[in-house]
Amino acid sequence: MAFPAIVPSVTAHVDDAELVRRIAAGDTEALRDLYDRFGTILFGLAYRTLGDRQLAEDCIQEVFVTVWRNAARYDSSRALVTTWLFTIVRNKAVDAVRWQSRRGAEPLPEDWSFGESPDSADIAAAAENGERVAAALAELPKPQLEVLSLTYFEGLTNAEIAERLDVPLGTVKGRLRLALERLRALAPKYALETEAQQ
Amino acid sequence: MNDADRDLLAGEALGVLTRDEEKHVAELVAKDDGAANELRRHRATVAALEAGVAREQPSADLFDRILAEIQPGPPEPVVARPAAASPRRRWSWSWAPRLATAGFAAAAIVLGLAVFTGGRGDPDLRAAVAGTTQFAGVSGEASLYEPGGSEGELVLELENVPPPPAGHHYEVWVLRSEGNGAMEAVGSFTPGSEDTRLEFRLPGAGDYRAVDVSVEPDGGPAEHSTVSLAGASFES
Repeated sequence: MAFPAIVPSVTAHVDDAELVRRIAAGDTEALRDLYDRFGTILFGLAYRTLGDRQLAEDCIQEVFVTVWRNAARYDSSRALVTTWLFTIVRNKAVDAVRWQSRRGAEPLPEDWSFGESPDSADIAAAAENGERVAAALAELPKPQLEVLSLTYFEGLTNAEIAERLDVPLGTVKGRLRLALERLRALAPKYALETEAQQ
Repeated sequence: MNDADRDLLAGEALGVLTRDEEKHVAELVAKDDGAANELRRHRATVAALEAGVAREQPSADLFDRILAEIQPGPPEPVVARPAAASPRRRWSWSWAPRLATAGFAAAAIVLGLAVFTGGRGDPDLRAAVAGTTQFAGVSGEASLYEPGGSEGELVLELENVPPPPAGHHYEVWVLRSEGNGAMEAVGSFTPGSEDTRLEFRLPGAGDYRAVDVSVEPDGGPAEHSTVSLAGASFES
């Protein structure tokens, strides 16, 4: 199950593993398609983990550069592409915090501060929680994930989504409800702390 | 409670209802415990979603930045923000004393070296980068390519660069002999790691004397903050 491309892609029919194979062959359009599918959700995961927009963007930039350089090493028999991507995000996020923590100890002008820096264990735990949520999202049927993404990440209204997708307004509302119900059903599988788990 | 009502409860949990729809939902949950429970479950699901994945989008140019990093090609500034709008500023020479003791000597040595630089050829000028007293661990090298032409480039290779303080970024400036001490901003950056390689287009042909990396507040004035991270001098 792939994250929906907000911008229609000529390779929308291509599965994630095939995209990674094309990336390994040096296809930058395949990298763009992979970014279209997963970039937003990975950014949301990195942002929630690191708590800083710039750090999250730097993290995602490093993630996709890593994907570009290491695509040939991806083994589809060992992990889903989404699992591979989530793991890279977690590792990059932990690296970023370790680096900041080490650097934060150096003397700086008195009127500046780095603020509180969570340790890498906190970051790893936050990333793991985010991974579970992202994995549950990735299991949603594409039409449901599409409207949920447009609502959740882009902040579009139901009417705007209906216009963009050229579907009836009632269809958008129904897909949103089904998406939330499906996520709730997936909560035990991914240990999400919804009311169903409490 | 019908399917349309159930759809509205999900929309309420996600915060996407119109004012009229919100009013309808409020009336519904006030009189229907089943609806109230359903809304609570939806809200718990949305809360779990928000706990794991931020409700944010990346900048529109993020993929372009990724492409710029992976693709060889004409050098472009690999920066998160454009250079300051009014680039000509007075220069703070706060790193100069450190250069005087270490950087100048290194610059004098490396200026005589011919080094292969990834297909661009040898730089016309090279100089060691030295951190200011406050950032003494910073080091690296600055290289100028075709500074006398209209498409000259500055390549900065920095080591041990600390992350800027919260709400700050770094800005790169150059100084030309003909500028009467005025400096020109060529771009800004927030490093993704301790070791950073940056490429900038020079603002025009000139006799470039030095490079400075300053620490600037995000959204601050275009003027140099007068606080420098590091610098390099091309004058031997």
